Amino acid sequence: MECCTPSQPKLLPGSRIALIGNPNVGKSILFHRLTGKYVIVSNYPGTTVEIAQGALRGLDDVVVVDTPGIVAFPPRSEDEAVTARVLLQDNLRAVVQVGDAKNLRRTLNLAVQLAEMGLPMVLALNMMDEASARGLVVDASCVQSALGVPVVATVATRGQGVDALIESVADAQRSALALEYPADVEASLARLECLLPPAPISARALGLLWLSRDAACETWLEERAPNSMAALCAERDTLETFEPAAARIQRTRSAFVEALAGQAMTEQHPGKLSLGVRLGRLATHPLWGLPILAVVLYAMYWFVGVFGAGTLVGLLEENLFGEIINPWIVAQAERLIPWPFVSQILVGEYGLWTMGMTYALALLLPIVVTFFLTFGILEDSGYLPRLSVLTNRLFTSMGLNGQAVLPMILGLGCVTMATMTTRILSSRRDRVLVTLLLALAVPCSAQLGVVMGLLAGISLSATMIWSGIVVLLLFVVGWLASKLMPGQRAPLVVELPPLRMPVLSNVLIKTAARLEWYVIEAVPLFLFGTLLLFFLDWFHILPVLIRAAEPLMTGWLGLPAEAASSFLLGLLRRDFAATGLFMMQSDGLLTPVQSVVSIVTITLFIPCIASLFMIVKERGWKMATGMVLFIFPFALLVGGLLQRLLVLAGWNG
Amino acid sequence: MAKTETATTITCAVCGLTYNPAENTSCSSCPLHSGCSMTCCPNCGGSNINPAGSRLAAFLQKILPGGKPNAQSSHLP
Repeated sequence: MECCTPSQPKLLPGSRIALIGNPNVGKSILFHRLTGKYVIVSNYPGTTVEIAQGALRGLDDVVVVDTPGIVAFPPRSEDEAVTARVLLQDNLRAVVQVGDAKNLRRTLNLAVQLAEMGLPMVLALNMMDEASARGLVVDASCVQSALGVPVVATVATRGQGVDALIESVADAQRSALALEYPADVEASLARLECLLPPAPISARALGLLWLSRDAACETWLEERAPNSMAALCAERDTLETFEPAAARIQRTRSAFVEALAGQAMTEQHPGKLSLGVRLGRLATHPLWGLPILAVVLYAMYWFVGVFGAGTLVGLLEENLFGEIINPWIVAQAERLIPWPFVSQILVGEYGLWTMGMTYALALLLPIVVTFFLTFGILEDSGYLPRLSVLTNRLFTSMGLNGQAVLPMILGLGCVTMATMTTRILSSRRDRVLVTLLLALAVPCSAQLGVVMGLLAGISLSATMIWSGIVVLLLFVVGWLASKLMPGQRAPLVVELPPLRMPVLSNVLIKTAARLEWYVIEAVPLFLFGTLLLFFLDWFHILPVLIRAAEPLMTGWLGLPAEAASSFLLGLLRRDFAATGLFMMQSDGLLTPVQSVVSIVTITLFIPCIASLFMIVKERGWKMATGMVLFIFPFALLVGGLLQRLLVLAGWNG
Repeated sequence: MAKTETATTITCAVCGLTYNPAENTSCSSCPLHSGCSMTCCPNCGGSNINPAGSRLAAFLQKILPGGKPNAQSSHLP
């Protein structure tokens, strides 16, 4: 790496200055501090994205452009792409990066990319007051000498440092920062410099954007160098191995950022830190974070499992539906409907009301409501990203990319959504691995709620066995798969929000929205599953299927043959199967061993039909078929082995 | 906690990215979530409420005191 200051452009009339920064770093406030009242807001040409422009205070001929927040290059949304286009298309005199001082790594990650572009640049380290409040001391001079551009400390909300920033903009300097990338990337960059057309940013930076598959850069090149595209593509393809070039480039940057942040940022004595900061730190501590996690999980177990699935379900399912609503509806249906077929569809053993709606309203609803409330509180409190940091070490030991933690944590909410988010992972290897683990062993919110309810009805040791088996398998399969599909790891970069007191109205609104989504998606599917069971039973196919599955159900898993109907529902959604098993347990049809074995087996099934579609969509038919062919026999194998182990150990709840 | 800047812009509660759910390609490619009122952050995948997508959430916003969509949570002392 080398760094120098070759030139110092001045602010001439007509100069344009771009404000660039991560989202939520106070960029817009600083923009208004720099420009004053008169601001023009208009769509960026060719897009629907609005950007604001205004004259620099004291220099009416100099225009400041407020760009949409960008996390890093390549851009991931239309808004972010506009920022990339501003850099590539606008004739900028200088760039002012607005960075969050308390999230220095994230700030530096973007700063390094901007510095490499070779545009005259100033870094405004904003929110210095919030950094101080968190006990962070940031050495601006250290960052300045490492990046080779002026660095100004600011507090935009109070206007502090704004005058110094305006002065620095006049002396904005081009950085000559050039990180040393892997040898093959460097060689490719050298070849690309001959192929790339002249650009407002350095040829090296343009080459890096191209190798990182930056869409805005691709569009820009297609317009300006259509004849070179074939050669450019061929050059880029030579670098693509099992790991994308973007991941290797980012790893070099991350190492530089990590080292620089370590030098430039120090933490004050923890005694001065607030309760929130101290708690937040403990939550990510490799040792103290575990008891905090245990307390969180126990609170969740108690609220969802004991209160939701025990007390609330008892009141609704046994008292309200079992003693009042259902007997009345069954009596009315049998009295008013003379056709047994129609009557049975509605109120029979597999009736739409007596099974479908009763399960959905009296059993699943209280469980998912309590789970969604808990999840909303965790989300609002800022604990989830801390859980990501805490579990990062464990996932890394499995050979997974640190970023893989986020989809895995999110899978606890909805596996289908989490499968979609695997696209944030940079390598195909990680995307495949995380998709497999999500499909195999990460229970979604609804299923987790029912599982907690079922296990809470047995004992805490039953919960420990279930969670122990699932976590163990997650790690063993993840570790084996990472050995079969080797690749290098990229670090997890998470911006930790402050630990906060959740707002009740927020949590309720989020719960309502999630509930609406669940009812719209799950209840019709549940009714469809019930109808399927009814027809199978009506045409005497269900008993045949149960008899056919008996060697597997009874012989191998040690379950009652009737459990097969729950497993059939599990093909639609795992939580439906768990609900069926929950009812069997409530009716005394399952022993503790059978309950644990069946719930472990169903947890390891493919999550739901929506997830299966998503896996097909994201990973393709071949990969999805491969996963299904692995997951089903594997789930049954583990269930059978666990049954024998529990019987051998003499465990009985 | 996230803070809505405009009717169509959402700031992720997990990573702070501001994004427009209408541009979220992961949601538009989802086959079974046409009625979904959640959006996934394109950066970290965190699920955030799209208040415009849920009638129940919109109703609660009206009746709850201080029930603004994604109201600002208070920091711990």
